[in-house]
Amino acid sequence: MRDTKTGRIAVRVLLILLLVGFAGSGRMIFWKKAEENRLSSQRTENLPGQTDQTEEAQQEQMEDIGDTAGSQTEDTTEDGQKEEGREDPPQPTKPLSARDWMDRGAAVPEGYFSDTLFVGDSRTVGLREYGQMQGAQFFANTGMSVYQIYNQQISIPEIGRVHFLDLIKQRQYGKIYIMLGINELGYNMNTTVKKYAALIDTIRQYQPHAVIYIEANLHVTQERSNRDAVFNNANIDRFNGEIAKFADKKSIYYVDVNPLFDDGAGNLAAEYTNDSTHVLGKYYRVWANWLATAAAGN
Amino acid sequence: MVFSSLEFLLWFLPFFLLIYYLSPEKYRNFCLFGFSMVFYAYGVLGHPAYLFLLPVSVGINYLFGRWIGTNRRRLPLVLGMIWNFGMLGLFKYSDFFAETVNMFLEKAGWPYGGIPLLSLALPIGISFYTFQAASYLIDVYRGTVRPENRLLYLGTYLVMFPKLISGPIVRYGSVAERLNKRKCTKKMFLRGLEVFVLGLAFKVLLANRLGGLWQNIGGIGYESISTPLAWMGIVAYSLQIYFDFYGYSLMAVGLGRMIGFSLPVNFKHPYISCSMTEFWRRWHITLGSWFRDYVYIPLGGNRKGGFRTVCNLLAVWLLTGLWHGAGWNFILWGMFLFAVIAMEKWMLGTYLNRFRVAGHLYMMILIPVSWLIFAETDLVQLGIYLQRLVGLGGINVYAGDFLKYLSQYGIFLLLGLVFATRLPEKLFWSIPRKPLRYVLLVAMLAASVYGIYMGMNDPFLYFQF
Repeated sequence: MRDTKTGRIAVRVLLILLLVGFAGSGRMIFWKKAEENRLSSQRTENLPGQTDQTEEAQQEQMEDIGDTAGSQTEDTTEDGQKEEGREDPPQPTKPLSARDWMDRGAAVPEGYFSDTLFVGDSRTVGLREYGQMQGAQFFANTGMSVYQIYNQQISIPEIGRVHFLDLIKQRQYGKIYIMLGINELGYNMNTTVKKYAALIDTIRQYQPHAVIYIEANLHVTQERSNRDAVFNNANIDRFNGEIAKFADKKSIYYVDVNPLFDDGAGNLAAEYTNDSTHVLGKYYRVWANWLATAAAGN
Repeated sequence: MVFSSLEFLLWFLPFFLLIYYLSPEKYRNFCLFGFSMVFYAYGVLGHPAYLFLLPVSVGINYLFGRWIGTNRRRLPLVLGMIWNFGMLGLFKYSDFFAETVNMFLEKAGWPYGGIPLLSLALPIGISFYTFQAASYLIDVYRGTVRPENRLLYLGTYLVMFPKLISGPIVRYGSVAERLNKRKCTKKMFLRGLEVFVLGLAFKVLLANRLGGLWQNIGGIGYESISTPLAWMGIVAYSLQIYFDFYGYSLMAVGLGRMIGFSLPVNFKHPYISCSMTEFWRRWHITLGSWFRDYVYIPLGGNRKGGFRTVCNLLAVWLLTGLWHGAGWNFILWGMFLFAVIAMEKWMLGTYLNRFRVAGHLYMMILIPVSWLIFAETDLVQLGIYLQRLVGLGGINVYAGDFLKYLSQYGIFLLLGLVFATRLPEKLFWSIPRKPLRYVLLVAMLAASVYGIYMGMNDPFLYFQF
């Protein structure tokens, strides 16, 4: 009897001690990360609502993109806090990273994508699921390629399962974004490029007034690029270079999202991905916002 | 080389069985030892120095065993423990220790840099053979087994490949007789093969498939998963880790049986438990009993009063956590289990056993949550996931995600839940051998080999963008 009672008391005391201990030590040992986390959650809280974003805020963002000097100053002060008294090396002018965009609250402008069709593979599926683009339609599937785009049926809300040609015949779009080519890297590149050109022509034929955006294929991480004989950034860049030539800057534009997620050496930065291939769900909104703002100015 | 790989199934195993059964009985231990060393060597390819680690460890444990056997003094036992756990500590825990110390030093403003990290790769199976070697030396000291005079026998016990890399943790006493003399009938061989194939199917056809969901969730990022998907994810992970480990243990037992050993059962349908206490009597049984016999009871177990009992439980679960990995999340996981089990011991236990339905509901939440703590090594990420479980902290959530993944993984989740109960295996073993059971077994084997061949083992080989 006595044992059970002491046991009960002891277990309660220990549980409380454990709880306190964990709260304390967890905070202390992981103070750095906790701090980071706290900051990033604050940033999230400060995000303007996605739909009720004012034009002012949008303009601010647009200005930010051009204003790389502004972001540099901020970087410098952050560095300066960490390592006081050390000269900062001169930084080359670089475009804003996805993290910077995230911090500024990348909300997708309302209505911008309502006349838009996205065509693509799993990266575009990611945009559909996490990009928060109201009204946009997506002809996208994991494994989609220029070789099989005409054979597949994709289910589209309010339309149902359709073939690609039937879809572009039945409605006129204002903007059409295409990101294809990575699944095709194992094939002969010349053939793929020809197929790609034919796809652009087909779209143009049925969509005479749409602005076509050829999207550069997103890089993979350095780690994957180094170990993968096919799906590496050298091949991706080579293919991107080929499709970039189709842009006429009048009604066909080439947009390259890679600088947004770059690690500084031409790879997808590891911080934006867990599978070395797709960006994390939270970054698709940044991507969508980038498409609507920075990329739209091309 | 894992059992569920083509090089093991199509090359190593057939070749081994052929040589093993062609050799005369007195050379079979030698054959098993030799092939196990090849198996080990293949596993530490790229670290040539590790090739010597296991044979040296065998030699040292042999000498210590004999030394302890001659006088049953404490000194050789202590030295033997220092060797075994020293090696384990060096390879598995030194960097974790150094990182922790460095973190405190940095925090305290220590200006001279920290302890350098060794970044050693873990030699395969070290956690398992260390515990077996330790159990052997302690048993010799206690007089429950006789010290082994034949180096080959002890070596065979420590390194035999069926249990080398993933257990079960076998006691020397339970195999000593079989090492000396074992007969293997055709019936035993066939039964072993059946058990092996069942384990293989669990690993390849269930665990590997379910693993895809957990990987997908990682790819999305925890912030962006919906709450139903968060729960689905940890249920899938729970089933994955079970069929992975259970499958592996079955394969080990099956392989053992095929060559005349009877290795201990490691799992008894843990997911049908009504309490965490019961769960850990059914999950990884050989590890639990190791801690019971070599830590909990020597410390006094529950015979020295309530306070000591709590301390002993704490020690056991802290060590259990650390045994599974060198990281704070494993300590947190061990402490979580300790808290739950201590609570059951003094408060909840009787209710959970009386109201079985409540017990099952309680475990349906606790099992996945405990595996989440186990799975996520980054405590910040763990915090995010825990928030998602209750609907907090979402960024950019795609609300329909769980329907998408349910359509992809629903069938495997369902199969997993069904096979976690007792019934399917009971039914399976009650099928008469001819011919239905053989048809089933051949189908499972073929499907597994096909699955491995198609790269289900490594989702990245089968990757589409």
